[in-house]
Amino acid sequence: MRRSSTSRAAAAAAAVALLLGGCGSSGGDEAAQSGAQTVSTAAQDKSVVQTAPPKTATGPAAGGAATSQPLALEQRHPNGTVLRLTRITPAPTSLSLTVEAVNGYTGKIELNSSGVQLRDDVGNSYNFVEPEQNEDLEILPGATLRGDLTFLGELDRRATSLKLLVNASRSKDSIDLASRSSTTTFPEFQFDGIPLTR
Amino acid sequence: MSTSRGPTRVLVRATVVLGLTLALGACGSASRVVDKAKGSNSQGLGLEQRHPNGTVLTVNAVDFGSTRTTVSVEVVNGFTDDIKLNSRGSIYLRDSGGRKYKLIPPEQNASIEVPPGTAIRARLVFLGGLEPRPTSLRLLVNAFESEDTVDLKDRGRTSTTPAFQFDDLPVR
Repeated sequence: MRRSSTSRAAAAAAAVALLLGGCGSSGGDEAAQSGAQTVSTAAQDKSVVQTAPPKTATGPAAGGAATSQPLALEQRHPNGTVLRLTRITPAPTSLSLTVEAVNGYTGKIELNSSGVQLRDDVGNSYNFVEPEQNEDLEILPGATLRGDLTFLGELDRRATSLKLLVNASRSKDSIDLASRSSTTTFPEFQFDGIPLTR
Repeated sequence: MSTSRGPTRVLVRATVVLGLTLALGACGSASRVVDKAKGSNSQGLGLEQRHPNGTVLTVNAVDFGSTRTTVSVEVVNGFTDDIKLNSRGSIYLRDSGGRKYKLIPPEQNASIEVPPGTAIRARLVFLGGLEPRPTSLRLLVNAFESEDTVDLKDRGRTSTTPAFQFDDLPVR
């Protein structure tokens, strides 16, 4: 349900965009002056929904960073898994993290067994979109997973850094790094202070 | 039992969202003066609220007319499912005198549904001019009309009908 809904996003948005027609027309000013207000301002009397155009950096709700930034963050789990964050790409309504994960364990692992959380430093969470082809982020032993993890939402313009939790439920704010097992197939990771430059 | 499976590469791409920013050239500004004679047009307000489910609602303008009050908003759906802002016909204005102003639902999208990972702009037109001019004006979204408030602490992270309450719309 969730996946199908997400994949419908672009189509639905396009459909909404088609519905608008002449939302900006209607010569209301002249109408007011000529007294023909009732007829001419009719279009202004209706509610209208339209797809939002891309935000600009100077817009009132610009959200902030619109440029992709390279990252060089790496962590190693006791089970042999290596997780790297190589790029962050904010967009007006989403944010992508480019990752590379090497499974150095002898069994299959999953990075999204119990959730992937992205939080900013002012308290907001951004919802992870599970990839349709591999929603659990499963990696075979000795294999490398590369790709973009997408999180939905508009980045809070007050945020200066992000925190990523891997294999963590929504209720978790941190991971007990000391208790991580060398034989787990659900390796947990916590990246603090992922920088956001504007 | 060999562990050398070689560098199998799993490419994961959660392709979403981009690409919906087309359209619209001519409709640039969603907010307009409804009745120039009455004027009192408040542009660029940028009143922003975030719902726990990831939705961001920004009120950009309030326009006052003799028979209509218009609120221009922008919505970003940061949730992983469709959301509805007018699920129960539940968007309305309430002024300091207790008077309510009903939304004229958009013909094309009466429940104001927003797909995940997309943004919309909406010009919300409410029936009635503000007479006499109240001292405050509240916008309620997905609220129960019997209550006139939203329990902000009770809002769910998985709600598909996110509730909002803006108490500080300008009325000058």
